[in-house]
Amino acid sequence: MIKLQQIAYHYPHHPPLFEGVDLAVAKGSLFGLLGPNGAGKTTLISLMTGQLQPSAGEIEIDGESYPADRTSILQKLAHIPQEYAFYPQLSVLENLQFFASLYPAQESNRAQLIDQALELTGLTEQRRRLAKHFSGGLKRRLNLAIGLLNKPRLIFLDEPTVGIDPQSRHFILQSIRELNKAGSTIVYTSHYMEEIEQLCDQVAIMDHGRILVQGALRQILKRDPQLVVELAPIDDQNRYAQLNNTLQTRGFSLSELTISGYPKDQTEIGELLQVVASLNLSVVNLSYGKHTLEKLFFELTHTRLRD
Amino acid sequence: MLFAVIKKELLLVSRDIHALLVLFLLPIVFILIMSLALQDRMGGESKDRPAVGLWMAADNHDNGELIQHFQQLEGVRVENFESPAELTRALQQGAIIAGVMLPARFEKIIQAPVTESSEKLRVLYGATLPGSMRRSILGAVRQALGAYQVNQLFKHDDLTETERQQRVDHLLGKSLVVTETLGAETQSQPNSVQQSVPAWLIFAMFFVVLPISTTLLTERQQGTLHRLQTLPVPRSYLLIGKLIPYLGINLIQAALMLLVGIHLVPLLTGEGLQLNGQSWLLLPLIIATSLSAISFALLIATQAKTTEQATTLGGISNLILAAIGGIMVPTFVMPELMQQIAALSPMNWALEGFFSILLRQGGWAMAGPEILKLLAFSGCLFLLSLHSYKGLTEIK
Repeated sequence: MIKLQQIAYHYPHHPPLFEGVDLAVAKGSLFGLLGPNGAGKTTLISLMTGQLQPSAGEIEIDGESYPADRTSILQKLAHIPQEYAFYPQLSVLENLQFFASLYPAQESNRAQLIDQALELTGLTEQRRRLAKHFSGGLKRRLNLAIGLLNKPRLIFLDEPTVGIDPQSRHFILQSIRELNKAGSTIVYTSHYMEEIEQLCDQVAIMDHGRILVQGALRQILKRDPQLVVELAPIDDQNRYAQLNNTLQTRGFSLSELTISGYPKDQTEIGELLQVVASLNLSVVNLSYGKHTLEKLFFELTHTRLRD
Repeated sequence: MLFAVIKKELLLVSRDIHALLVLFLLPIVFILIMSLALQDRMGGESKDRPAVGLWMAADNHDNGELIQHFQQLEGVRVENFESPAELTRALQQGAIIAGVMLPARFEKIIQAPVTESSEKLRVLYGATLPGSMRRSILGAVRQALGAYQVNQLFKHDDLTETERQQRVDHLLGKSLVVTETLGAETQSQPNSVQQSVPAWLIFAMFFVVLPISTTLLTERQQGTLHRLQTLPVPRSYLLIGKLIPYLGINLIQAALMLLVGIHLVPLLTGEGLQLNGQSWLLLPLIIATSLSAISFALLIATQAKTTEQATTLGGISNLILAAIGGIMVPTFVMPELMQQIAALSPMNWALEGFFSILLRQGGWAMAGPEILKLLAFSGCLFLLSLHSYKGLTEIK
């Protein structure tokens, strides 16, 4: 179980990135952490993996806290960064042997753990090859294999499928599922919504250093669905103003030619469409139904381009 | 754990072909080239002395004594020519550096009073011959002439060959002059091998800045350093794990370059590096030099933002330290001000340490201060780089 309570953090000479952030990741869950670029995901992971220290609040991992229990916590977690964080001039086996030897606690079964990591990531046949000759997919698998060398109970994966072919992505996602089934808690960040939707049972969406929503994925997607109605161009300004006034009284919003809102039931949708028809306006497109993660993500973080 | 870090560094450098070339091939090439190039300009005896042409008019050939004196001009190798034209051509082509021409009836000429119309011995110099060489050759010719003339004085005396030689040496002042070198049995200036081997070894040792900074910057840029931060490994281990393998590499460099100086250079120049009874002091000196080079490299690697910045900064710093430190130009040919500036370079401390041991046989009393300076320098720089490294990896 990971518990973040009232976490605050700011980089030196920068305004606060986090203030009062709470987050809970259940033991054994596959937790998706979503957010646009600059939302604070990587910083949050750096805090959870002990690379950064919060200026306020407490991070608890399986009953232990930073900084007092840092060494003990690091023994049982793995951080698999987005970068290819290994030595390209070394072979797969040499990389694994080097990183494995940095865990003194695993000295007795080091060879076995290396074999397991090779097998799980499908790199057994490639173990003698230099990493610099690998494709993007093989590099991602080696990056993952290095993270498994301490038999971690908690794995942080930062966009592990960026820039690789569909087969490698499928393989990596399958490996992550297997790790989760074997009992590891996984915190997974990605920009691929469909990946999170397929893989994760719990999610949190964050932006501007705030957690906007968190919980079980199914529950989150069951939130009131949004209705979006796109209208044909309106020539008459009076009719436009009349429509805007009516929508406001009913709790809907009108932005240019798009009506959006959260109707309580289908009757309310019918009434809204009657208003539109009574003003002689034409509907070009209408969407309503179950949330997808992508829709929810854009609703919460908006579609404005980020740096 | 530390062993794993050391093994990793050794594997990385062993696969970096450019680093290996700079660390091992470059100094060997420099030692061979510079030992050859400087052998006639620095201390040691050369088996290939400069050639001076000699032409004598035909009638002089009957005078064996005259021929003998001019065939043995001091400090040069004499080549005989059949005609003045041949000698002049050889001089113009650079085959000889100077020429000596003895006119006909020279034996008579030197016994008669010298007048304006007297035919004279001619000494011809190559156009580019430095003044010091011109003066040496002129001195050798005058000495040969003097020796011949003094010999003539005793020609008819009833003296043994030994007695005659003693009187000649006395008149030429040879028996009145004693030469002495300060600190008997030692040299104050190195010969070309004694300069080249330690100089280019030190230069190459400081070039560990390339592999060290490349590895550290790559670790930073690729996120490996951040991954290492999430592992239960002390940060000091990661830095010490870089120091130890490069100390080993520097020791291998030193052993190799000394072997080149002892066994390979003599094959080309006839003169090799000689170790003496105090040579054991080379080990602490090389270790101190290596620690300085590595600490300097670590500081650059931890300060630089990119690999390009580190390799450029490291390379330029090494060239400057070498240029002012007597590596490229021996300090004894520098003006006093430059010699004072040279004493600021750690490469110069190391070089002076080598000279103290190999040339001056000064033992610990002479080499010790240089070793201590290098150790103090490396200690300060290592602490600074450890501080910078902790800054890079600290939990903020």
